[in-house]
Amino acid sequence: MNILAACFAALTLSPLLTADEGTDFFEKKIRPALEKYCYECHSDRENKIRGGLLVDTKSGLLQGGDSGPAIVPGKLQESLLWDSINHRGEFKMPKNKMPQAVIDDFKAWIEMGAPDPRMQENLLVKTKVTPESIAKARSFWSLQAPSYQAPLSQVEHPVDAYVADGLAQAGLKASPAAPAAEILCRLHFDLVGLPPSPEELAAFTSEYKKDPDAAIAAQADKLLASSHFGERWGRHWLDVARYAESTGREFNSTYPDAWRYRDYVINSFNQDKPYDQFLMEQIAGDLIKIKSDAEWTRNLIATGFLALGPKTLTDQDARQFKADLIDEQIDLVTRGLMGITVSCARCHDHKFEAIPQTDYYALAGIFLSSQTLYGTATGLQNRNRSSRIRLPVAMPDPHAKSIGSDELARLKKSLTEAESELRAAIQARRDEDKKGANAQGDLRRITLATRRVAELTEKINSVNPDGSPRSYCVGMQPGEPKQARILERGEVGKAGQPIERGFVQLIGPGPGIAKDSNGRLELAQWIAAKDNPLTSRVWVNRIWMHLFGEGLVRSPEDFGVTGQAPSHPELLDYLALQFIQDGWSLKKLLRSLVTSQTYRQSSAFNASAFSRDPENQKLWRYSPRRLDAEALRDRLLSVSGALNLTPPGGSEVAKEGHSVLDPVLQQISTRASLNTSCRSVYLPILRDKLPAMLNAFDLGDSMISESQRERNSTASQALFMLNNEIIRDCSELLAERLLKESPGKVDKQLERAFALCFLRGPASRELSGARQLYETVLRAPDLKSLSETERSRKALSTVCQALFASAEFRFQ
Amino acid sequence: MLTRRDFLATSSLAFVSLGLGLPLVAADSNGKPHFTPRAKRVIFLNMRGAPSHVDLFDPKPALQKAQGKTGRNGRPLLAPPYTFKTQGKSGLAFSELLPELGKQADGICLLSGMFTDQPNHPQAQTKLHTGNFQFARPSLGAWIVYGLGTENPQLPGFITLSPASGTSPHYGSAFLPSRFQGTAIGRAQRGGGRFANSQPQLADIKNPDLGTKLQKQQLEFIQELNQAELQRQGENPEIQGVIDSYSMAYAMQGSLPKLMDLSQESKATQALYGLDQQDSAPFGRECLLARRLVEAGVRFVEISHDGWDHHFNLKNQLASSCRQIDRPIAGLLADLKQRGLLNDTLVVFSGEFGRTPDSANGNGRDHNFKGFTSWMAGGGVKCGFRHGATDDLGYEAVEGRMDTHDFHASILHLLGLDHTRLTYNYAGRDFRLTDVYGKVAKEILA
Repeated sequence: MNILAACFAALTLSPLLTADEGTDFFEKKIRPALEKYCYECHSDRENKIRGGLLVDTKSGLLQGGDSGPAIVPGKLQESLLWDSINHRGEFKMPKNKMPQAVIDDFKAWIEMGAPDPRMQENLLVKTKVTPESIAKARSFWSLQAPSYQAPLSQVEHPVDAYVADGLAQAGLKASPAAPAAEILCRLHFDLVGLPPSPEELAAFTSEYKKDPDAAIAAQADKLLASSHFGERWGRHWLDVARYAESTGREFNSTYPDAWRYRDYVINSFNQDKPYDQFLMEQIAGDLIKIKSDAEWTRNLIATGFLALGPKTLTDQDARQFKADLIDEQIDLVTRGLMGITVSCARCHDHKFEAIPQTDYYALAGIFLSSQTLYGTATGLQNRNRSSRIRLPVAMPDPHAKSIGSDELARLKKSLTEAESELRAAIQARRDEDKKGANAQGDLRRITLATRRVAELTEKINSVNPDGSPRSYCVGMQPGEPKQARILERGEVGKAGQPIERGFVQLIGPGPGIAKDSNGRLELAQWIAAKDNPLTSRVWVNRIWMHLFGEGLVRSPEDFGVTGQAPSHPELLDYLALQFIQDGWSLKKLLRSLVTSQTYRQSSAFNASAFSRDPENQKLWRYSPRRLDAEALRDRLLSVSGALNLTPPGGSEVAKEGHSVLDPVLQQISTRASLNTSCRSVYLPILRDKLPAMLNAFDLGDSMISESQRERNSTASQALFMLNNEIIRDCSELLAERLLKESPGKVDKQLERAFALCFLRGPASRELSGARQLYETVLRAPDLKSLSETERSRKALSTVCQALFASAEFRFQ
Repeated sequence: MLTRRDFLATSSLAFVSLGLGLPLVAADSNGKPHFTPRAKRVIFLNMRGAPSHVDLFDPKPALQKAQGKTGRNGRPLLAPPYTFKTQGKSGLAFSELLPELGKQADGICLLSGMFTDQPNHPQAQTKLHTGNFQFARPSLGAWIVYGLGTENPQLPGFITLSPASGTSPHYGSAFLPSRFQGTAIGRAQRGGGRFANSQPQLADIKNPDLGTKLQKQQLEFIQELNQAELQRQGENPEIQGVIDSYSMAYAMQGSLPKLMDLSQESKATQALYGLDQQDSAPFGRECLLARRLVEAGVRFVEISHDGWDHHFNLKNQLASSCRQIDRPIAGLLADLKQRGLLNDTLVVFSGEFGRTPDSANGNGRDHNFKGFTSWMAGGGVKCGFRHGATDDLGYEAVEGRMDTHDFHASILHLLGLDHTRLTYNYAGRDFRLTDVYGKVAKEILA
């Protein structure tokens, strides 16, 4: 075969080509060549999608892979495939060059317009959801604008009035006020997540006796103004944001900058940032007009919200990875912020809601028009690497170190060496591959070299040329505005028609998205709009839930038709509107709720009310409930005197930089569990390596947005309390504290232990039980070898541990 | 002042026989099968990385002769480097790399028409465990414990030994109440040293500072405090839950370390599981532990074996992997049989998919989700039987095809559970392990 033949082919076929002739040429020359030389690495059939390129469909070739379209019909020089098969440019494919005759066929084929009969041109994915069915579905309560009528009950506080209406309807009565100690505990745990001290209780009790309303209001104001408020409520938000400091899954890479987002959240709550603005910053912080670099920096960090999700970095199919990333972001902003499950429409029209599949891809287009920058460690298995965002204003990590100029030069030299070693290792592997010999040794060599290059690169990039540390964050940046193509059954290989960007029609119209606009700002405006029927309702419901145990809507992540109806619809709508009217202020809303009579009700059991309303839907009492993991750990540390309330700054994860090594991650997690005395919100949250105590007490796995934690009682919690080192350490610390405070007087020590743990003195039976245990340990034959001081400390710490382990200690 | 004895006598709550004997019923589980079960418990042997069916369980004479010829995808076919041997009365063929397992052929039901739709390991593993790779769904073990309840209230119903990092959804309960989730014992370390010389450990099982007697006293005091709190609060299932959790923890503390102490087994039994050889000892320990756990009444035990992803150098690697599992699994089957446990214990062996008959580099095999072999033994399956087949070369399941849902439906069926009736209402919808799919493979029932 030769040039003549190629010319002949080109001459005869090119301008006068009929469709059949083109197909014929493809079938005879091109398809067999693609199968022979390319399918191995680039076909669905082989499950190989190297570089994101598929050549076994027409659209695959035209869309191309990570580097762009493989062919541009009729334009040889613009077709990446042409360069590659000629072993020019970035890719040299296939490894062993095709015969010249085949290359000539490809030339002829591309020049004739690349006729390709393999796929139907227009895969049209249709939706069965009509505009009429959407309009009809909008009559559902949660999609109507909130509205309320005045309560019937003549009670001053609107919350109490609405609750009284509900109770009256059910023939129930509110419970009397709880004892002062209980109210103070509630305020403390709910607002700042920390226990009050016995001294604070004494002061509060005396104020409460004088004027309960004033005492509660004053206490609420004090706690709302405390910097610990943001640590408590920020953590609630971090659940919604499925916050974590690593990607999870098989290649569990750290996000060393994630803590900046955590601190941003805590600060936002402390500043009582209006909720609508808070949402805007997190969804579109990079696109909001700003006045200063400091503001820009803060807003970039805020977009970490969209970037910190779990990721399957090992995914070989870049399209699948991107589709999953976007799916995760769609779920976050819809179910996470608006309590509606839009991601059900990824593969087909929503089964229950009037959400057409096209609406999902309208949203997907918005995210497709942006870049998600999340960093992550390098490594052979990481097939989906990304860069990070350099902050406009340096905000160094407290652990970051400068690098001296000599050291920096040394590092750069080492990097050059490491890079050439990597090249050599790869070459060696290729040579071995050809021989078919055992390639294990080379693989190890490549792995080591890759790791070395990655480490050095990261180290060098962590500083400026002058050696001072650089600051990065993860988050969002605008990309080229694009439409997403709808995917049949959600399969990335089955792309249908492109879908105009837009919002979920069922929820309501939003601002138009101009063709050249990124669209994310409009998305943020749509979600944070006053007339969005869901955003405000969903958030006030969760706020209610954090105070009362359950939401007014008991499915806080589902306000759709499969969710639950509100127990107090008027109250919910009143709160949703009042919240907006008060400038989306969380602190104002909380102050109003905690000063109600409803909030201060006793939690005492009442058999007759219980029989009528066992779930306490009507709020006839305050629902007792277990503390969440963070509050429990903070209480433990606080009571034993170990808690350090100063924020540690940064994160243990940041200290290690980008890492994926299991032992390193495990060490971060273990070290943090045992040796860290900071508040729990600052502990490193690595997916799949959660701090042991938080894990045991139902911290979520951070894989999806979550607003309500599980509250389990498991045997592993019990084992933790009985045996774990943290608990034993804290028991000894408390024992030491007691011995110091009341030396020599055992009953005093025990009484003080009850006061610190439970904010009450022991009942006489309890004291005698404690004393009994104390004496047993003191006289235990197996402790005979210890000194008397040691034995009494041991006896005391054994009692302290029992108090920590008790149900009362973990209930609020 | 009252003495402790007085306190106990006068307390209206006669309690604190700590744990031992305290009945614990899985309150919201179905608690009983839909029809007469053939098996009561399951040991799931999860082969992570996907073992090659054409080399181990599914002989292909055509492939044997086709070395170097071009296969379907224009790649050279790789003839299995090892031979098959027909075994027992059934004449089922097993690789010569599995000589001990081969001796158990007459007790095994090969499922050679398996296929799935996920070509990558993580998704395919998730699908194998939960039936769905996209969303968090309860795992097979959680569904089974939910469906059947627990046999021994002193132990968790579902235990997974040394699960790989990042696989918690594979033993999670998702929306099912968390008491149905798998209790992980031990943790696999990535990248070598996984088995070292230790066996799986349970976290926080012992207090090193406090002797058992003293801890019992301490626990009694804790339960006194809890009972007092329960009385103060009145009806409160959460406090009751805490009380129950201490009973279970105490029971586990008492039962698990002994159960996990393999030195109680005779030398002969240890050898049966291959504990006397370095290659097979690690997995052998897990198999032996699995037997001890099911024997003690654990409903579902999963053990996993890593390293079947033989893209390169299949010849050596396959031999090495087989050495690690052959005696342990054969020993497990033999041991269950001699103890009369095999009749109502279902042993399931599966990878997440199979491997291609052809080879990119001439010495390994790649992922093949279109056809592979899993197998079952014991509890009600047809013994010495092969169900289903792949084509001449082993590319694709062509007969007796079973996808993941069919596989799950069949396992539930053997346990007396109708997969269409084992449902849980969550977020307003009845969920099933098999979603809207699944067909019981009636052919494999004894």
